[in-house]
Amino acid sequence: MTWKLYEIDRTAHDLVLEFRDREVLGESHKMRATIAYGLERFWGEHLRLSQKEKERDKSDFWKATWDALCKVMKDAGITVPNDSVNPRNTSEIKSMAAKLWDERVLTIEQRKVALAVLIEICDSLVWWTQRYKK
Amino acid sequence: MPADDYVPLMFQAQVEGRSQIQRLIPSQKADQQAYDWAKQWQKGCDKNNVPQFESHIQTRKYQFTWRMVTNSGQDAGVIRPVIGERGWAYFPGSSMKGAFLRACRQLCPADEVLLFCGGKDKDGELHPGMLRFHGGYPNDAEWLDNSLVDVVHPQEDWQSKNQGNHSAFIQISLHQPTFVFGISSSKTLTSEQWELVWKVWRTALEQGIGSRVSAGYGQIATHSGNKLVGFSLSGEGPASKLIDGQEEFRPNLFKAALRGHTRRLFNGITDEATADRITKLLWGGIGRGEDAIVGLLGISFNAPNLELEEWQSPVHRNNVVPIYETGDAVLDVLLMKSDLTSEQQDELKQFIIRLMKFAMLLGGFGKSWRRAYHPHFFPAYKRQLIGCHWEFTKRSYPLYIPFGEDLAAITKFLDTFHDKGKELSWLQKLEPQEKLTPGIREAWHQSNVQVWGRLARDKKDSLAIRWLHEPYQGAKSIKHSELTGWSSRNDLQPKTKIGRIWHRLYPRFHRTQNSDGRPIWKPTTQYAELLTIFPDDSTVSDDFLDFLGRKPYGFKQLWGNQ
Repeated sequence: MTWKLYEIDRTAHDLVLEFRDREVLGESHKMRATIAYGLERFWGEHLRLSQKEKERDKSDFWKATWDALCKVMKDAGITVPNDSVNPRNTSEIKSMAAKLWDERVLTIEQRKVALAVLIEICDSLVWWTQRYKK
Repeated sequence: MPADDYVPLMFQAQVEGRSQIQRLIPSQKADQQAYDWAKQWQKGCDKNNVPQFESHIQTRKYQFTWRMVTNSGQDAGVIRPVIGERGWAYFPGSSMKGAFLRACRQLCPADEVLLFCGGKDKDGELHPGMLRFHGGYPNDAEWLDNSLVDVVHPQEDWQSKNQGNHSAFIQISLHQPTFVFGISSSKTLTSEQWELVWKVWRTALEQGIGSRVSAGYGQIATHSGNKLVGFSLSGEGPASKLIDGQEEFRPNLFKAALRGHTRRLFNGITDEATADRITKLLWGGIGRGEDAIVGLLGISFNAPNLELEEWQSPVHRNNVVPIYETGDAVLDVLLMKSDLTSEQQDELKQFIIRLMKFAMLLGGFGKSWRRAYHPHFFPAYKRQLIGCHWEFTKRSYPLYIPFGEDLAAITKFLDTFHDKGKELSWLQKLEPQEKLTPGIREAWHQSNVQVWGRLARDKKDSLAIRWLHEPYQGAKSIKHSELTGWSSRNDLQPKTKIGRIWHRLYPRFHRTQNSDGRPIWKPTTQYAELLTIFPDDSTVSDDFLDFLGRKPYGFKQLWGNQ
């Protein structure tokens, strides 16, 4: 087995650079705090924010972070569900939420790993936020 | 059921279809997700293990007179308390330090502030403070039995503008909790120093902690440093119902009433934007950025003997409503900012006293505040519970306007109330009013309102109360008209309409002197029966004013131009 770099810190840095001009970096602290409530709550946040025009940028930041998580996990061989969901479509929301809690889609072990990775991403986001936030 | 259905609401996505604790769907009554959420919290909390502070931490216990909320800031759209150790509600140490520091700066010299709380000294060097703030927890599990779901329902636009939008929202707060707060020190303090620390903390609590403190949330019973003026009063009337039907007396109704009258007064003095601005400066207001203002004034209400009962209509057996009797209670109006000069404070105090006298003279507080209390003044009426009745109690008797047979003192008071309003111009420059802003229904201006009154010999001698239910003359009636408004009528559009008439019976007091010349206030059985009317151009309104113009039963106009 060889050492594999997942470059989580670089991923976080890229996210912060991408979003720093959209005045939403403060969200990274909220992201870090939200992990305590698990994957579904974290994933759902971009949908909630997307419903208000003035919070669209925040929504994009949450979604981009979720996408980043999915990519890192994929590199590690675990597929975290990431359906494209219309926030107005309840059945799409329910089916995505169901996947996140479904043992056959994501085992408890895999969920724990995903949360650990998400914590790592968000810790890095917060770190970079503190350096780039205006 | 699939696994995702068992997931607690806190762990679900906060979107429609999953967790929606902030959504209030009035037709669903108790079937709101906020209740499910609160139940999950109440069930999940480890109620057998009351959080205990370690032995080196000093603690003190304080009870809150009404609700208390410490917003976690976590769920945007929902205001809910911070959840601490083993699911217990928690007041964070960091918030505690903020409140303590503010009070400490008011009470203690700079070197003591530095000693207790730390900060930069005169040379700009940083020092750590000695005190550690460990936050606060409820002292027992009783808070878990109460309704945590608290509906906040701002009605200002609905009531004083043209029945504008109003929607309720849900907040999670604790009902009359007792909290234990913990403070420790990194160095040994003398018992005198500890006394001082707790004195500072009490002062901090007296300014209110948590959110919405100006509306009476997060208040303890005493207010030594920030009390502007206190009123002793008692009241009866219909109580509020929470969305699940549980009854509650909600002290935030005082702020709503005083705020509403402030706006009415200034809408009669200046243009709408300035009136809005002054109202916000005094009572605070939400908004984005610059628009969000912490007001100068707040309220705190303490009614240790308050009782809630049920009133059942003898004719409509299923018409049951909660009613309150506050008993002898105290309403304190608090100064929320400490940077006013003593002249400004005094002016503000005089303003509040006039505002309160006005509210007691012509309006009531809470639900059905525009009507006299029917069980007192029209006991034969049994269909609905209508109105409310408030009186000053002994210590505040001197606030009663003593009037003679001619009620001229009431006219004089109303003149003063209007004229003196202009004196708050240090708060905001008043733009001269050219004409009243259209669309403001209840602007307090001679051209927009008429106050009529007569002397009633006792509580059975109310005449106008019948005119709200029966014709006042021949077949002429104001019942269910634009003038009186109506409520919950399925046959009318809109279902509820706010009327343009207020009716009150205001107790008559005599002012005499005792042998050493001190004034004494003596109650009588008499009342001033008062009608406040904001006329529109309708025939109903014109006819009724014509009728009053003929001075029936001694009614005469006390204020406003005909």
